[in-house]
Amino acid sequence: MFERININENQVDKLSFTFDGKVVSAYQGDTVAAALLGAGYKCFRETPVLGLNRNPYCMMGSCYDCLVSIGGRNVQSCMVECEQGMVVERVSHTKLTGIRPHEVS
Amino acid sequence: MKTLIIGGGVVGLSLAYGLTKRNEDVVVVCGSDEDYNASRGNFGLIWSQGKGLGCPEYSQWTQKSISLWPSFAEELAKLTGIDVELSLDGGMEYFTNKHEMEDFIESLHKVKKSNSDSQTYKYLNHEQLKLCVPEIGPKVLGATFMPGDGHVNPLQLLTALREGVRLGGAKIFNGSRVKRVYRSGDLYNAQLDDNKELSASRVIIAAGLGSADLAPMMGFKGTVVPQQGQLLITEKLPQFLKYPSGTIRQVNDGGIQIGGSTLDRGLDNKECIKTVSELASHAVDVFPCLEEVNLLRSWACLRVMTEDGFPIYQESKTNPGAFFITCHSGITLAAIHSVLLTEWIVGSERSPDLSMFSEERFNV
Ligand SMILES: Cc1cc2nc3c(=O)[nH]c(=O)nc-3n(C[C@H](O)[C@H](O)[C@H](O)COP(=O)(O)OP(=O)(O)OC[C@H]3O[C@@H](n4cnc5c(N)ncnc54)[C@H](O)[C@@H]3O)c2cc1C
Ligand code: FES
Repeated sequence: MFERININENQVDKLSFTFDGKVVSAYQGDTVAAALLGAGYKCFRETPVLGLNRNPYCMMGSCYDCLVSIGGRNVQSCMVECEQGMVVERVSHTKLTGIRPHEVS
Repeated sequence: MKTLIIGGGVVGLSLAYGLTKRNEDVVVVCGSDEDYNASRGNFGLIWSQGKGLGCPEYSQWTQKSISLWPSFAEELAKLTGIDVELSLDGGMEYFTNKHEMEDFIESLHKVKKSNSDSQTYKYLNHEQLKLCVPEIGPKVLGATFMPGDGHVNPLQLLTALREGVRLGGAKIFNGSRVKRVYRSGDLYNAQLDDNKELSASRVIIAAGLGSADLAPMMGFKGTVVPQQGQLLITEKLPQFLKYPSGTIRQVNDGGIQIGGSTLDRGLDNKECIKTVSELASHAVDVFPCLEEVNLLRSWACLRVMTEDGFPIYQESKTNPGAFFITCHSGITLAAIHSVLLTEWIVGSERSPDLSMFSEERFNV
């Protein structure tokens, strides 16, 4: 869906990290969101209540639709720069809070 | 009869809604986005717990409004297609401080004694509470539970009311403020910012904190006092909190809303780190599972308080047809305002006796 523009392959440093255990390659300076979109991910997470698919919307830190888990915290992936070897996971609220959703009517 | 309502918050719009339902001719001047707008920054509780100490009529009025809420919400949904996300499964107050808990239980006891119709609260100690709310932390001593209390999405409520009022045929002036209201003969006139003049035979001043300037122009005392509250909202979580409390509730899309601070800061409506962190740490004491959860936003908003905290429903003695209406808890009271307070305004045979909410109680 997304492709890189005006890139001279020889002038960028490449790196890689994992998302959900799978290796993703990125360019130095990419945000995690940009790298994941570049790699073709169409769903970063599901909403906690209705389970609807979400991926980045604003790319500037305000909508929180691009949340991923890095180092045990949920963060906006559009605000974090990729680092070599970074471990990025899908958000899991059960892991974060220990909460098991109740039957709430 | 034409009615001019000054104020586009939940109080003015609940009346506008009630009046249009009675096929009255209504004009609403909504004020501007720069005004203090309690209806846009509140906590969203439909709440009787702890209310009405020293005023059994207020406790009854609140209870009655809560009983009207389900049909009010249903009617709004049918008319406008907007779901206000009402739930009335009961409300908890969690305590981590023994004295606060004892004082609160005593006040609940007194309110119950003064108004036997009020719902019966229940006290749950830590162990009993843990059975129905397993997420509570070790610092929670216990909780009081009030059946029938609950919450609503206050922004959806405001949107639904506006839409209902519009569909009811009212004329709505957005973004305009009234700078002067005066009487000429049998008519009340309002002069807007752009000098446009509106007139009607009935005028209702329901401008929240803005009433302090407007109400005296019609001979009311018009004392309204700002009281600042700060609120926080976390990232969205799976639904786990069935019961809202006065300080913590889970909104429909999963965020945890935290609030309940009360500060006298005049007209300062900025949040501060100190209060935000106090609110957050109380929430983590009650629900340790929130410790690692991100806060998304915080804001402050000014409550519209009267001198004793109870509503003011006053028709002018010298200017009949001119009303000054204000209250704290305009969300809780929205249902009854759209029904019984409306009956009182138009003076129908169903009009309740509201003399105890007259402004004259402050004249002693
Ligand atoms: C932090 C906080 C938490 C709260 N929590 C709850 C709760 O959980 N449950 C509950 O029931 N209540 C709660 N409340 C109270 C509730 O929000 C208020 O009672 C209610 O919103 C008041 O509505 P209002 O219409 O009187 O005032 P506002 O919402 O302030 O509206 C006033 C209106 O008048 C307009 N206006 C002002 N001056 C002029 C002018 N000169 N000309 C024309 N228009 C003018 C403004 O633009 C605005 O539209 C809370 C309030 C706060 C601040
Ligand atoms: S895409 Fe909106 S916060 Fe990241």
